[in-house]
Amino acid sequence: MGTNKSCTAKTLVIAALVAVICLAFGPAAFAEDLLQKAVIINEGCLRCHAAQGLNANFDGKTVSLYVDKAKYEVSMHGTMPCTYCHTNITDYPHTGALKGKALVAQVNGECQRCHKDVVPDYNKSVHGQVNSAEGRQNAFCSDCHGIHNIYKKEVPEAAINHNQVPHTCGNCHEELLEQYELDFHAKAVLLGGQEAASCVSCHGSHNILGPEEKESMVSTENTPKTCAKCHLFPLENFAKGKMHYSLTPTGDGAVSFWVLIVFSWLVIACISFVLICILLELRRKWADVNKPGSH
Amino acid sequence: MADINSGFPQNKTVYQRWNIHHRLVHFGIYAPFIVCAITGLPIKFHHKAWAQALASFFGGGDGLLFWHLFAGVVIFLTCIYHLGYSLLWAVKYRHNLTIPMLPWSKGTWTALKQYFAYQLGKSDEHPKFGRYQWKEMFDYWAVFWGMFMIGGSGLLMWFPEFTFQYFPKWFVDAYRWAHSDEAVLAVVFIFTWHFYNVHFQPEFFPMSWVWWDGKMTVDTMELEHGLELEMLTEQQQVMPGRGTISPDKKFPSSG
Repeated sequence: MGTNKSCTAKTLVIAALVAVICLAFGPAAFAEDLLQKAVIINEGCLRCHAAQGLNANFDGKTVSLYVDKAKYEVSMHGTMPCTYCHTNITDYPHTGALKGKALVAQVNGECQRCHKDVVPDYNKSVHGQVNSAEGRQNAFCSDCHGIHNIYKKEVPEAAINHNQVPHTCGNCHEELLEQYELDFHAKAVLLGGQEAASCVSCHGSHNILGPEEKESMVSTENTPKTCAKCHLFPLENFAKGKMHYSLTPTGDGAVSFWVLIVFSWLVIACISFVLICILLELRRKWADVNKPGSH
Repeated sequence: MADINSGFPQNKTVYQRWNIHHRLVHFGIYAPFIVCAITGLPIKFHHKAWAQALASFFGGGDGLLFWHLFAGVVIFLTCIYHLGYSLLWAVKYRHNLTIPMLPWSKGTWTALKQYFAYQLGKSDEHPKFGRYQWKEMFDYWAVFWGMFMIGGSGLLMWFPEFTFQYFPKWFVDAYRWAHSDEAVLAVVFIFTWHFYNVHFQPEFFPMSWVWWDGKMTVDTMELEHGLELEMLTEQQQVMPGRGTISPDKKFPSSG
């Protein structure tokens, strides 16, 4: 019995040791392996693709194939092999290479392999829905997050940085950006403020929905609550009227437009009047000085 | 025999034009006004490179707004101080009250006609202004109008939780346009008109020192406030609480 017991104890100790070694060094060894692989693979890729001006002619369009090495290496994915996302590149010359929209769709499909948690939200969102006219999602991951320059949002250069978000969204939503820039939140954000709302503060990010959807953060029902994230308590009036308006003689921004016109003319009239007075006074002083016997 | 002292400028009779309250109010308006202009213009023209540079100097959009609000509060406090002071002044002199800052106060209209006739070369009679010229009334009441335009909209924008209980969004948006456009008007107005009147015009260059010590020499009084000088010297009508004559200063060595 005694030997049997010590035998079990021995087995247990060895099993524990093996488990500790595997758990402690296994992932590290694997990561080390991936890192090594990345260094070797990326060196090969960047031998050509780090060259500025590397172009290709696809269907009559000149397309840049250049990758900024310095930016890529400090990006979130900088320690990963290129082939982690470009899965269909296995040889040289690249027989499996995709072009244009097909390439974008393929690479963006690969994001979901690791970022599984985002997928359900994204698929439900207006950006994740497939646009029947174009046969693709309304917005891909890379449209907002960048390509070889993906950084955490705390990095000032990141496309999803608080102060960059309006520009990133504005790449597609040009008119909305123009309208947003009239808004006071925009002024604060675009001048480097951290407290005011950027696009995603009100509209959400992966779960973004149009205002006509009930669950949307900016639906009539939810808008007061969304504003109250910053503005103390929800008010019904927060949801009344258009948040984004254009300065046009009719429509939502009409009053603002006419106020602007009236004040512009008020400035012109006032300043013209006082400039004329100044000129009159100076002319009179000049005439007095030049009068005979004035000295 | 001519007075030996009369040639020395420091021996000219000097009038105490502004007391310490007037000067404090002027300081309390102009210092924060400059801060408001420096921190406000980048907000209006946020896409310009100089705006970005100024904003980063003040610590980004949030810092910019902090100093803008801070200066705005100082202007508000100054206005309250001024209104309180004016009220107490009016109560103190209620039995013999004339308010020379009112546009319809005595002599304003005559002086205005004289001013344009003189400047246009139609008459050689120099305009005789009362305690306040039309220019000064213009500046003074412009601040009143500005407080409603800029100060009012500023408060509505500062406290949206209050504002949106009573006002629709289009109203606040339009009021914000009034805020910044009126501010641009104020900035351009001050730096052309007011600066010409008290800095750049030959009589005052580099500046009129009334804002600093409140004093104005008899020569300048004659040009700028002839009617008031007449009332002070010839008719001995001193406006209640105003226009105290300081004793003549003599050149020390004259004996």
